[in-house]
Amino acid sequence: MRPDLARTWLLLPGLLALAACSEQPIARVVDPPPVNGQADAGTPTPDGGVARSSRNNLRRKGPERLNTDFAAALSLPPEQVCNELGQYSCANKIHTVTLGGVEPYGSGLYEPLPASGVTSPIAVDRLALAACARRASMDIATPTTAVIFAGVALDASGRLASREGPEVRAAITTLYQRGLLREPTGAETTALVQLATDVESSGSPQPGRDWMTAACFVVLSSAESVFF
Amino acid sequence: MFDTPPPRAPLGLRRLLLAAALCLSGVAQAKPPAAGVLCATYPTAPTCVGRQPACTHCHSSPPQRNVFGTSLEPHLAPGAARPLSDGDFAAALPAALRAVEAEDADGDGAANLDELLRGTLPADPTSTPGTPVGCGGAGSNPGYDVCGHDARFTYRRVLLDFCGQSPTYAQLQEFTALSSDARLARLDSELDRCTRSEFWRGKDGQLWKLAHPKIRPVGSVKAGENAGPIPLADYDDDYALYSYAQLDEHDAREVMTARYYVRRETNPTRYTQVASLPSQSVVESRRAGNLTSAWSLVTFVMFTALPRNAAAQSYRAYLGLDIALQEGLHSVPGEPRDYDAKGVREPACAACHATLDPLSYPFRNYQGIAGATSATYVPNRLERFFSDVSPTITQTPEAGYLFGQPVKDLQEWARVGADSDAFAVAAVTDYWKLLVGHPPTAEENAEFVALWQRFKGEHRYSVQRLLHDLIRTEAYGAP
Repeated sequence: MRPDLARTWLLLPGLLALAACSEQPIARVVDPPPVNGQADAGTPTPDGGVARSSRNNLRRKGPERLNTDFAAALSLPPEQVCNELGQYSCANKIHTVTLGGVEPYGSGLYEPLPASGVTSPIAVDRLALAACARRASMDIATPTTAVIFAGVALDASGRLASREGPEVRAAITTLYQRGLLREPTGAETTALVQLATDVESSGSPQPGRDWMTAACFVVLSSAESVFF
Repeated sequence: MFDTPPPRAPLGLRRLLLAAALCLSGVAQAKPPAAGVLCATYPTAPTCVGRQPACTHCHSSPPQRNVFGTSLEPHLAPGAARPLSDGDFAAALPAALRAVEAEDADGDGAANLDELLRGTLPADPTSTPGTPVGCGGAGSNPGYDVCGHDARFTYRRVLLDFCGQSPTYAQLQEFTALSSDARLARLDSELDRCTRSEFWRGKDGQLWKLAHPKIRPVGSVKAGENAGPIPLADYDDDYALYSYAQLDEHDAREVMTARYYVRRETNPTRYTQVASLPSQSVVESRRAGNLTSAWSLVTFVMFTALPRNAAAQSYRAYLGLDIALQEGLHSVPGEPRDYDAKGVREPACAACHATLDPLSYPFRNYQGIAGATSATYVPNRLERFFSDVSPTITQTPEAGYLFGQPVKDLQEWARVGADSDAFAVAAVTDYWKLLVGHPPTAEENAEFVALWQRFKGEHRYSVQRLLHDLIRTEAYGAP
């Protein structure tokens, strides 16, 4: 991953990246320049006292592992994570090469491209967003079998009934445990709770559902989720 | 960059290596002794350990020199008449190399000596030594051991690399609670479990991905399952043999030497050795693993009399040496003979063809695409099918050379190749790139060399044992 693309990776989600911080960074993946003199609030600042790896050897998960991990994190069948036009697998057919895979039989592409392409972050976002939207819909439609957002109620306007409630915090914890295999930090939980307010103020007609999708997207599209 | 003098071989050893380099050299346009002399001068250079430096260290395309080679020229026996004999050249090269050690021929900020000793190219500004691995600076890291092998980090990597899926939160918690010894045992058992997964051994799994550049499939001419519109041969057989050789304690060398074939069954994927397959036609005594598969012969020999492409692809795929990149050049005296009158004795061609042509002779009787004789061994093939190619084509011998060593036929070619350091280096490099994520760096070279040497030695060419060893390296398991 080229550093400039890595920067783009986190800059693209913009607001959503606010909460995509790694608790214990193992390598310096991104370091965007300040905009108008202000640092990106979503970028991990140098952690005073935390030793960093100097190996810089993070690897992309690639299409199959990304698809499988998203499926496992959200308890979706792998073939339902993301399909273009509802039928062509994003990971295994449409965006395979973009995500770091190969296409040996038809295109003669026997090895992954040596660097990620300009559309690679977009393809990751596509995969994460499709999976998260599906999980949010399923959890809202059948709350008794909800996997992530269990007990998160919506009011008559489609907003979270209780943004600060324990159910919302539990959902955030579940997202981090299933997506990143760790607990969220206090700051990360606060940022995702704040995200609900931001989504509501954006004028979304279904802010509760959009928050669920966005909170999930923040976790699954983070560098910590996409690299290993 | 270096505070202490670079390691050099003792004087006696240097002279011995120099003499060996001279004795083993042949006659060609670029200087065949050069690689040997460079390694005698810098025996610890990564490019010299189990390998031979590519000509691209000094040449853009032999005999044309690149910027590093050009910088050496004034220091090569100044005042002596040109061209230098191989002996004079070899005697003068060490001093010339030392004279430019502190220079930076390609202007990339790294001195020539630094580049040579750390395995990068002194004439390529895009090839520069990386920052030496440190230990995270001040402070501690509660989540990762950034200074050494981290079992918890390795556990996540092992499951992703071999099973294709991260552990669950609960699995990771359970692993974290284990003792150090129990963690290592769990890593081993998980590796064994995951290498039985479809993600690892199934069609289009990780092993197949390693095989793609070696087999170079083309769907439109595939035969058998999922046949293309012009079915010529079935490369699934090649994937099956490759995978079989990598699995279950089998000998990885048999991908080059097997006289058997392998059948793949599915749900779950199983690879079984068989004596024959309807899709393969080479007689058993003339088989040499995937070098003589129907797919290799049809696609790499095709319609050619002297199958240089088949030889070069075998050299590249299984021995890691790409003649097009001027790697693995071992000029054979008197070569190329140019039996097929292609003009390869021209100086610009001979630098590579002095190696490539004798590498190709053992393929002379293997038929490519030719009706009923396609993909078979045909005694006197050149005499029967290609006698009109040139007046001397039928003089092409079946005996050839590999690494400058005579081989009587393709079976011996394959055996010498499979037993070579080059095979072990290439095989381990494949897994290193797949699992570590990049070719070995200068900092990783000691671990890498030890690994491929154990692959040849105590692991007895078992990839399974190699993998257990590899996941314990710092290159793999240190965050």
